[in-house]
Amino acid sequence: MSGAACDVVRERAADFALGALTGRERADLLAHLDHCPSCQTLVGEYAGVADALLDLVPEAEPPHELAPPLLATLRPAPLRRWRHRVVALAAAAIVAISTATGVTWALVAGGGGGDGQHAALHSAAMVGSGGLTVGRVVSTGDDPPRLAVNVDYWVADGSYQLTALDRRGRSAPVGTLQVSGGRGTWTGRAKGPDHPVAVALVDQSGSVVCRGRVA
Amino acid sequence: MALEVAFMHTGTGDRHAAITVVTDVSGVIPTTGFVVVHGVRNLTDEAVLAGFGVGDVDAADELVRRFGRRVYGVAITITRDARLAEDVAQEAFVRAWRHAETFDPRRGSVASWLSVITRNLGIDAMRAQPRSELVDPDDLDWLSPPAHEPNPADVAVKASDSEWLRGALEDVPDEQRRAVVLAGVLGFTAEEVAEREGIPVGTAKSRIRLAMDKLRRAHTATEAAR
Repeated sequence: MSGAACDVVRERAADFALGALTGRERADLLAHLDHCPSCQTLVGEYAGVADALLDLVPEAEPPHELAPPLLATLRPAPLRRWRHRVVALAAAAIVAISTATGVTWALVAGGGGGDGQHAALHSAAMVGSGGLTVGRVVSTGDDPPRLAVNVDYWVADGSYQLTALDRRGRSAPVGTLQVSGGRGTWTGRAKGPDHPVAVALVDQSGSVVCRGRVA
Repeated sequence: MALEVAFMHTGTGDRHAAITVVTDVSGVIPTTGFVVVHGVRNLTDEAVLAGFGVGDVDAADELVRRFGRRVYGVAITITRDARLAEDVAQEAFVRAWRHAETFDPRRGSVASWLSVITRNLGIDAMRAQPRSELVDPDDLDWLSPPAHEPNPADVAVKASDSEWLRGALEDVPDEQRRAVVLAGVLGFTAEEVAEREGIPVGTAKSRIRLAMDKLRRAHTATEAAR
């Protein structure tokens, strides 16, 4: 961390909080924040002000209900929904027996790989440039973990290598994820490094497009 | 098709919820699956958002009931167009659904998070329009400090929520207050603030930064007093 860098952040922190920086300025500032707690605090304070400014805006009654179109977006097709409900309720009944108080996640393996083994379920955002959330990765707690990687925002159409990384930063390819129409999904086992802690999407030029934690 | 089922129990007492998630990891069904959430009316905002994020329709209904007016208020304030504001508000909730798991309660409330999403979408929607011509000064009436003297009860309330901000804005010169709200709420660039106010760009930047700094100091002082 250099003093000059902190000076630049102090000068730009308000603009950053208001979303007024260019992409390059924003990236530089974020890189500095990675290793400068005092600037993190300062930027956090400005961000708190920027958020609070929106609290001043008066509420307003929308001309039409907002919920119905949103619910239509969320609601699965009737048949699928019915199937899901049956499976969900059955699984809930099974898992609830072994669930104590507090927060508990449990995964029941199903389908072709159904071995009945319970394992911790981990879910994390796939994060791209500038901290942008572009999708999600869900992983099982067994080793190698089973992964479900989904991207649905910002990632350009094309073919990407999905790699798994261990704690030492070693990576190994685990599959290919195809993005089409802005969306792409990959599922499978993360065979490669022992105990992977993250996955990353790598484009044709070898650049990491986004990454997410799996442990 | 391979289904995975996750069950989550969260909270205590009356604010508990049971959530069940089914995910088709084989990708035949391209969405995270069906969820059952019990007692959404009693849940915290964070829990409702969590249920919404995994596709629960009751949680979605509840989230819109709690925050629909706020989200639409931000959208209409920025766009000044009812149809566009409605589209922005809808998209804001869809965006919240997709990214619910990234919400971090340490960084702020669900209300603020939704407002920021709405603001950014509203600004994107307006980017191609000459906004300085669309914003009438009278539209910023809600910025004005209250005409009456605050009573002691109001002073007590100021320490909570964002009332500190309205109080702090009273100490900010009018031209700085307009500049910071044009930038912070309506998404004006410094150039657009300069055009709107008839001042040099450098002056607009200074007004925005000075106001932000005063408000930050007030915010810090408020937090320290809690």
